[in-house]
Amino acid sequence: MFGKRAVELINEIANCTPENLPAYNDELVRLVIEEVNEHYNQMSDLVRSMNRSGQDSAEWGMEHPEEASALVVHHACILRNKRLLMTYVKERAERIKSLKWSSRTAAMSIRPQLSATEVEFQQAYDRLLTKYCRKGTGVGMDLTLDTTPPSDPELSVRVRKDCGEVVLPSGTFFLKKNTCHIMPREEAEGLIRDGYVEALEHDNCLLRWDT
Amino acid sequence: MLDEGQDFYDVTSIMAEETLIPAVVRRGVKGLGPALDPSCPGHDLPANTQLDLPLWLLPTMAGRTSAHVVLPRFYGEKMRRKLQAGAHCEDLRSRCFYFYDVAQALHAIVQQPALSHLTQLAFKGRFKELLTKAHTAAEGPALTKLKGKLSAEEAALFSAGAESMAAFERWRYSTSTAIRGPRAQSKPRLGPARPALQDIANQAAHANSRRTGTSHQ
Repeated sequence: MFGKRAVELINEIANCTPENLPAYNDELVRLVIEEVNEHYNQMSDLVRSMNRSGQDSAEWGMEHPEEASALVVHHACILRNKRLLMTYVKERAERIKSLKWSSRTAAMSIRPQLSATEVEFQQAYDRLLTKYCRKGTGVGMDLTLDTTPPSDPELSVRVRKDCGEVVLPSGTFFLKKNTCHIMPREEAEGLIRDGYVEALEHDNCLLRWDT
Repeated sequence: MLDEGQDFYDVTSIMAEETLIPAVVRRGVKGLGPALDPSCPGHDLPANTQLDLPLWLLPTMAGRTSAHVVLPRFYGEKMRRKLQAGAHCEDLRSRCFYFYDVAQALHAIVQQPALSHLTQLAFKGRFKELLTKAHTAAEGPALTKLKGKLSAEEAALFSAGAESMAAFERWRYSTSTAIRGPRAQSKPRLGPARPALQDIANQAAHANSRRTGTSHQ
């Protein structure tokens, strides 16, 4: 049945979790394009035979219903494959963009899964976003850090993994597992998203200022 | 095939359109016999062949080859009787994962009122239990069994219901100072003690007796 290869591409994306991206299936994309070219060649043969008959398309369709049916089926298959290929590319591009916002490390770790064009797209998107976040050319703050409005500029965090000494703009932190620290929220956000530390409610924190 | 208002890039509708629907092709198709019907012996597809076609190819075939669409068994009379007997028991996932989407697309082609009645019957019979369980049921074998019967559209509704209830619970029992639920609100402070009703009555009687000049026992 036609269009089965292209559906495999969509299945790859649909069965993958949102924080992951399957490797770009270059081979399958090439096979789908070959299938489209094959449909196009067969359509061209049918159109040539119609032109040779010297009749207009309606007359030719009435006299050769089987050929006319084949023509529309080939056309429908080309449109179907086009839709599936475009969806495959768009879904991947959307996921590259959303990973940039949700996790910095994930955005870097998917780099080997991308095609050359997608790497170019990712770099261009990064440049665009960085320019928008820069002080002189944009809003002047990193919009990917805080996905929700902050209630407090400082945040209490507990370390989940030993990271050693970490130098942040606000100072140097020795992040040993299960220790608690208070750090600026914008610096903590990146560490939380990468899974090194977890945020604490103020009531549970051992390092409150008043104790 | 793309209906008005349908998203060109929607993965769910793309997957739904892969559902195979039985049809009878009234006119032959040249050179596509084995491609459309693997059991076709020749190169060309002969007229009046019965075959299963994917939903996305159905409008083209119905228009050009006058293909007659046969409603699948999961939209048939037997299914209608089963749904009438107990819609919530029916396992739609195994019959057709995109039960409602496929029905909607098929309805645009076959225009049979029986099909729309059947899907309404199924949805009305299942929606109440679906939503109740989404809001109340805890994870366990019963819930897994229920989820195993849901179609893709119902599963999306179920998870939306469960997520909304979880969000409500978070808000209601939240200890955050930003927004507080009714139970988390602090009690109102007590004002100065109010006089008891008996004291008010005694004061009123005393004032009355002073006005009339009589003593009140």
